[in-house]
Amino acid sequence: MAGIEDTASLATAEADVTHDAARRLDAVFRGGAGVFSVLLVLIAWELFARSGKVTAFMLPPFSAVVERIYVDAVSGDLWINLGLTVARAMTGFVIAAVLGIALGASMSRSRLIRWFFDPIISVGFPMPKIAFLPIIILWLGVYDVSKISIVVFDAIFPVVTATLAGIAAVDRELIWSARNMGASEREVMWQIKLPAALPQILTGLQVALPISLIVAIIGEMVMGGYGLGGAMMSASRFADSRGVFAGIVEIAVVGYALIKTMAVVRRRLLVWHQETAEHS
Amino acid sequence: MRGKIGLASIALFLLSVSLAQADPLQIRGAWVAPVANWFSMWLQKKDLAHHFGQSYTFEATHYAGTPPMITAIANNELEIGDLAYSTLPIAIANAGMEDVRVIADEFQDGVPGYRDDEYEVLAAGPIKRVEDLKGKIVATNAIGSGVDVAMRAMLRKHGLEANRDYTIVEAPFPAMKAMLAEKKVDLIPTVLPFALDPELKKIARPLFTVHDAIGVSQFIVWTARKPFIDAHRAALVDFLEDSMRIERWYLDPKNHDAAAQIASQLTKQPPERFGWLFTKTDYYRDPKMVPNLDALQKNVDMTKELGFVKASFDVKAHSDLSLIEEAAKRLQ
Repeated sequence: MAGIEDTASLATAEADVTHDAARRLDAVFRGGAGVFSVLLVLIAWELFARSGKVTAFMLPPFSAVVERIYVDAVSGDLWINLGLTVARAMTGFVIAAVLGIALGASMSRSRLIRWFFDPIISVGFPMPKIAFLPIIILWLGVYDVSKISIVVFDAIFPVVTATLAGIAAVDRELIWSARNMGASEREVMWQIKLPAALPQILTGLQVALPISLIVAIIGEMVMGGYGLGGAMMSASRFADSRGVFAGIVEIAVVGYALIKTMAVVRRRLLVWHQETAEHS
Repeated sequence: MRGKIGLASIALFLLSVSLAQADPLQIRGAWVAPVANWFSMWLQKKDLAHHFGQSYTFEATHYAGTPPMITAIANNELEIGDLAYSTLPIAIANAGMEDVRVIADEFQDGVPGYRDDEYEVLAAGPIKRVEDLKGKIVATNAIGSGVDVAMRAMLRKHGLEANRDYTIVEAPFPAMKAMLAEKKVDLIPTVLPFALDPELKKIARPLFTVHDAIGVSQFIVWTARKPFIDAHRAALVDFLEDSMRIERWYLDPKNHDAAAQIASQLTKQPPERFGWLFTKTDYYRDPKMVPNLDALQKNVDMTKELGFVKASFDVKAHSDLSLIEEAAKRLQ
């Protein structure tokens, strides 16, 4: 009998090891595939740019673009431009996140606030907010205040709607149970609704983050000055294609890094949640 | 039956080939400022263009500044570029379009006795000297344009660098007055016809001129690419002959009132505001449309010295004035 049990547990252990190995292999393959496809695009870019079918003005080789990024990094221009763009995007994003969650939570709690803001959110959400840029420049000028304001204006909508939807989807029984146990409305909001709505709020933030970066760069392109957008626009005007493509590569790297960081933050904040358990 | 169909097909093919050959050459020209650039008012006098619709057709396209024209030229979407002294070297040295050729004059700035573009500040504002622009916002029509590079040159002479010491904002020429009046910017470039706006004169005063920054300049030239010139030389000479006839009509003092009327229709301003048009208050325009290549060489060298282009080049080697000379001979 003991022998049968040993054999069964051995078989289970073997199956676990096989499953684990398959999962790791799958993870490596998936990660490798991501790197491989990017590498393939970069090699194709380099070969096509050197084929003589296009001029260096139309498409500079990837190696020349990397060289340009290196030169900018050594001179310090890259860090100034990168730092300012990320600072503007992140400042706008944080303000949009705080205001968006606060507004979404208030709308879910107060009928009056919801009555007032619901039509504004419904009309404003699908609108291209960047169309307000000339007005924001007119009112606030061309410095950081207007660049950050347009980021907040654009990024706040997905946060508000995600917060509203997240709170609306919280299990009623959880809320009733908390109330039955004597929790105040404030405690229900902070200890039940917001934590339970966190996955959807974080999804809204994950949508708002790339929007913040995109809008910050567009704002810099229009308003000039330091920043990746301003540098790209200036390079474009001086027919400096290497500079323009260097900006594109830099934006891609920054965007990827921000999205990955946000994914890590999500996993950390939702360590208790079912989705994190499924991933791990 | 088959033979008849074959013969009909050949006849149709030959007909389409001959029709295609008879198609006039499409020429697209660029302009930035209305009235100041010939192409903005060329079509209004197409009745003087004897070859129009026969050997060529012409289309005038508006651009915010000369730098965006470089991309259009590179994509073969613009046959006659209206390039500034600064964008010509950007096209040749930076964009690598070695085959760009200067073919005619558009206008020159700072020629003694003629118009010299100004950079203006609020008359009652705090900017009294160029050095006062430190930490301020300056407007430009397009980064890299002629007015932009001259402005940067002047500010650099006074120790000020773009981004480090001042911020540059792009704005269209018609919006410059409002931006200065609303104190959104501290310095604006003023070009004709906007420079002579009476309301602007009330609130602004010149701080410096293009001549102060870079001396006499061959400000705008007409350019075309060598393969295009070689392939369509005859049609291009026809076009330049017609252009010269139109230019001479506009420059003729006896046509001044009619020219002012055309400018009025283009700009939606009263014709009385165009008393300056094609007089000595206006830019210098060579009646034979021959550019000042010596001035242009100096301008190009300066653009290189300022670090806006990788290398300078021999302007004469990048010019083909034979077309405009041939056109001028026809009008003698």
